[in-house]
Amino acid sequence: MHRSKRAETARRTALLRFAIVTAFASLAIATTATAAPCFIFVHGRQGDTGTFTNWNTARDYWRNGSRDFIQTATKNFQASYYVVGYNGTQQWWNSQAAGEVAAEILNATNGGADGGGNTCAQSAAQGGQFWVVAHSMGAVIMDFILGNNDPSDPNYNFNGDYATVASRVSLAVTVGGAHRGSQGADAVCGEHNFFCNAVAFFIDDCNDSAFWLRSSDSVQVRTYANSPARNVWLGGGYEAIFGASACLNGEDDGLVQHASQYACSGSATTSYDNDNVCGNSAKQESSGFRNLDASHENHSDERDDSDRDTRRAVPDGIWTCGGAPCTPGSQVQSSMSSAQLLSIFY
Amino acid sequence: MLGIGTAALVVVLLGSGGGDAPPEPVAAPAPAPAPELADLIVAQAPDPDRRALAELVDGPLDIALASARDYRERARFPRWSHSIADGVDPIERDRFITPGRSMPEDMRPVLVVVPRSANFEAPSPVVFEVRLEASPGVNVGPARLSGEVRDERLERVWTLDLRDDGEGQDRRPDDFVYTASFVPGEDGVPEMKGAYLVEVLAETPEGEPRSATTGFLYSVPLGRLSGRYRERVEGGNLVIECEVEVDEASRFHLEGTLSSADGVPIAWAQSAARLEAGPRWMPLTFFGLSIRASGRDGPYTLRSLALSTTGEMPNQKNEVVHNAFTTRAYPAKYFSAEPYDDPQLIDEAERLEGGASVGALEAEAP
Repeated sequence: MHRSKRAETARRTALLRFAIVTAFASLAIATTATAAPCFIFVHGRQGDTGTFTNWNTARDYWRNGSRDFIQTATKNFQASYYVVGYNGTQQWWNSQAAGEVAAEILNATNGGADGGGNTCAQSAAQGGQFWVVAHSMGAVIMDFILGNNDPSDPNYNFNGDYATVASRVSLAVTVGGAHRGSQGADAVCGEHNFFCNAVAFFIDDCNDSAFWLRSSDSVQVRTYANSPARNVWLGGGYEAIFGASACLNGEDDGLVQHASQYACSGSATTSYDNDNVCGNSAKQESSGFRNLDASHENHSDERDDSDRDTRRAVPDGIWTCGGAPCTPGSQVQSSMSSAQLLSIFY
Repeated sequence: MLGIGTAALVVVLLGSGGGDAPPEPVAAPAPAPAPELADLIVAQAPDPDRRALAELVDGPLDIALASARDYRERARFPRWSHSIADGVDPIERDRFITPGRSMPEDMRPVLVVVPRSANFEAPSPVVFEVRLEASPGVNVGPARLSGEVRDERLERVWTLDLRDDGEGQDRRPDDFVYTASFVPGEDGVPEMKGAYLVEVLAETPEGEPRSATTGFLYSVPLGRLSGRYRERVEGGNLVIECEVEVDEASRFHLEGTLSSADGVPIAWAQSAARLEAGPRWMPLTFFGLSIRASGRDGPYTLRSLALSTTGEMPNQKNEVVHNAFTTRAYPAKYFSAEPYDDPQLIDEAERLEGGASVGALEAEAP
């Protein structure tokens, strides 16, 4: 199929325009490092307490060989960062989960160091800006904290100073977030799903965190929280994992179905594709959830920068084409990881 | 297709890396060469084999500025009350029940298990419906059917007695919709509160196994709505007070949806407070602008009203009360048109827009 000369010219113009804008943007970033937000990373569910008891394990969560989500997202550490480690075996609302995450975000925004000595370039008192990046269960924890920051909320300051956390966080970005639970957890916690045993290979057992990450409405964060006080930007993966993905409805990243990654209202297991996943007005809460895009990454790739692959537009997503939102489902990048996507946002 | 990151996933999810060692500070790794930003922004030509892309990619939205715009819009309303622009009742949306379905879903018939409510309030019976669905609306009889309820410790607390005889909670005999119900004894009610997992197993007429899971919340709230309400207009807002009969001192959360005279949901409000035992009033303040902006006149109806006992997880939720109270016939313009101007959201918007120094004024948290 041939593209018209006019279309080709327009494409080149668009590319040039974008390259110039981003070149200027990167120049500005390089010269004003402190203007970049400080990234606070919140990992996902765990089968043991390693990330809670040993900070290096929490840090390694974001690495795969020479690839490092944090290095890429922070543009080789030009932006400052802080890595949270909490007990990922516990329920998302537990004091060692949500409570610990809230306490660590307070520490980070006060200028304190994480277990590796990393600090944000500016504290909240110095006018710092803080972006939380959360993967998988980390997303649910952030929904709970940001959705319970006001005295009128159902679980206000449940086990930490959620109010101050919300007042200091500018926005959150979630990748592979289990906002509406995971059908993978359903398969593991149901003991007799003969066809979905492959999932058990990835979620080792139905511990407290898995029990509270099922797609049953009774264990979902939306049942216990208000709308997030700050925007939660939703990125989803759509690279299947052989075997496991057969047990998830619609597109998925091998462990979490699109209905959950994009925090959709209605059934937590509705089959969605990249081109019809719920838009920004059909989320689990009235406001605060916004779509990014979909990446051809599986649940692991999303948080370790190991797969720089295709990205596709989703309804109400962030990509524009010719001055209008790109058609949902259309390819918008050919080789960009979620970590790389984050790096172009500031 | 098997993802290339699968091996890494296995290592991380199943791997060790744990231990009880205290956190050890480590030196930050030496920075690697910065990736060329322009390399990352490669707009792609359409892939003719997959999807016809006639568009050209400009780039992504600035999520900081987009968030700032959102915050300015949301700042018009307080956290405790907002307008409903899409006509969807937020309380009904939150009570939507996700059916549990056997997977893979393309393996027909599909086993479906659905609780009649996402939350059962004591002493109501717990009721489930189970069906083997050959196609939407067409059910078949299973060769075998069984199920059990497990608590958070995964211990079996109840074996399902699934019936299709039209008796008790079963709505119709022989329709292949099987019903299980459980009425907790008075002594067992307090211990029953919590979140539960339900697993149902079936054998299709062809002898193939199926399993599906769902769950429910069994609530033993410490207060309930008495059915007494009173209204007033204060500061341009509509305040509806709801009386709560409190059995035991606790923290309570109340949320309500207001609909206009023609039944359209227009506003939502919430409040929370610690209440002592006895009859207590909880106010729901519907922000004036949320009513006025709807352009819909009253009388207004508390279309959905939900009380919860909070302060512990899971919360203990009362069943939703519908059409609890109707106000006087206020015209919409009777209410304030003034925005709330939430200072925190406006500060955050300014910070994201790059012009704020609000953070510098903020005190250190304890």
